[in-house]
Amino acid sequence: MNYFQRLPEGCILEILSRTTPVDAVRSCILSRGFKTALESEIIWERFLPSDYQEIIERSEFPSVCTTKKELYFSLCEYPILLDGGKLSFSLDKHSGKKCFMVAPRELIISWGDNLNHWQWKPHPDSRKLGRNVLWWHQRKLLFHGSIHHNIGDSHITPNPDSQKLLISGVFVGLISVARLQVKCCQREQHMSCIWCSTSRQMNLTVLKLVSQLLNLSVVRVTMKLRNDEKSGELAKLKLKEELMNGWK
Amino acid sequence: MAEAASSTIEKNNLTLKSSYGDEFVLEESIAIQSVTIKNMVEDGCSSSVIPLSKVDTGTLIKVIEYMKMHSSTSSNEEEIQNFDKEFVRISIKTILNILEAANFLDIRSLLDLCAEAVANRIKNKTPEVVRKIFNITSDFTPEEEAEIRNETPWAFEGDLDHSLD
Repeated sequence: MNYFQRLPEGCILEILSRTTPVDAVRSCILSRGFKTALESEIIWERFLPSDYQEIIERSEFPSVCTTKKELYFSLCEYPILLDGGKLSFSLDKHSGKKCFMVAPRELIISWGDNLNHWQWKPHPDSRKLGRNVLWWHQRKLLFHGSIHHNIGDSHITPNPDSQKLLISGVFVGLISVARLQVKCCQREQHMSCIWCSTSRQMNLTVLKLVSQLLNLSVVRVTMKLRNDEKSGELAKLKLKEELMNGWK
Repeated sequence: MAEAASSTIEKNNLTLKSSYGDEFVLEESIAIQSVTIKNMVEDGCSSSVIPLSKVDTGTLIKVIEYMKMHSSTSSNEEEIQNFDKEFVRISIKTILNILEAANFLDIRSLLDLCAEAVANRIKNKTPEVVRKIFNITSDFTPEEEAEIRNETPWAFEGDLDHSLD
């Protein structure tokens, strides 16, 4: 006998809402009973972040949906702009985790105003973020700078188990080799490096960070770029030095 | 000192009767972890035996074991956590029976524990394996199944677990 058949619907909803959105959607195929259960508002209310209403209220054009399930998938497929377009918000379809994309104009960048280092140019990928992305102005010298943005406490849920955080940023650089390093800080204190990568072809670098960190308040991104092999050693040295020093 | 003080307080006992007719005597202070029983006590319906027609004897024994552990003042948090871990290391059928009883008796923490244990047997598993674990027979036609897979292909991708654990 199907073990679920005699269970009250409430119990089945309790079980499904403790899985993840992708598990729940996959369970649709088990039987008609599961498919019907998946239409429940209770399940999708649990899969939405606990502060979703608060976040949506910060958007000029909030999603208009009649059911929680519709809202969930709308937030997965169509990110909404918050705080006058400075921040984009969406949900990760598989996990329901919150994703924020920060407008580069909101980042604090070393020598950001210096046209010898950076130029602001429009880029099709950045339309949602106000048509401005950061272009690395190609130079032969080693570049060493830092970018950081205060995401703010309000976006971070206090329970690390129920909600995990996904942050993404878009950086466009005309560079041959880059090393990007992202650190999370709690109350300005060094916590850990959560993303690190090297690539030889990084004309378009899309940064995607998955973090399980609690009370994340500041995200710092350091970019170490070099244009030729000669400066490679120097870049490594600089990086080592910085890793040793950590964030202060 | 504490023991001497508590023993002077008169303990009210309640009798819980399973669907098989077996009776279990339990201290009221332990039994009222169940909101359903608590409401009955407050409404004055508990003077005699409380019949639990939806809970069989085996399940009731487990529920009482859980309530006793969770109301025990001598066990620390770690002991309770270990108890919970061991408590759900039983057949899925038994967990579902306890879950149903916890739902009926309205014992939130027990409901959470069982629902979590069942959910863990669904997470990241292939539909075929989940059907086997829970003895579910599909009532979809192969065409309908294919349609569901086509609607949400992303839910069926990736490295899914084929084990029955």
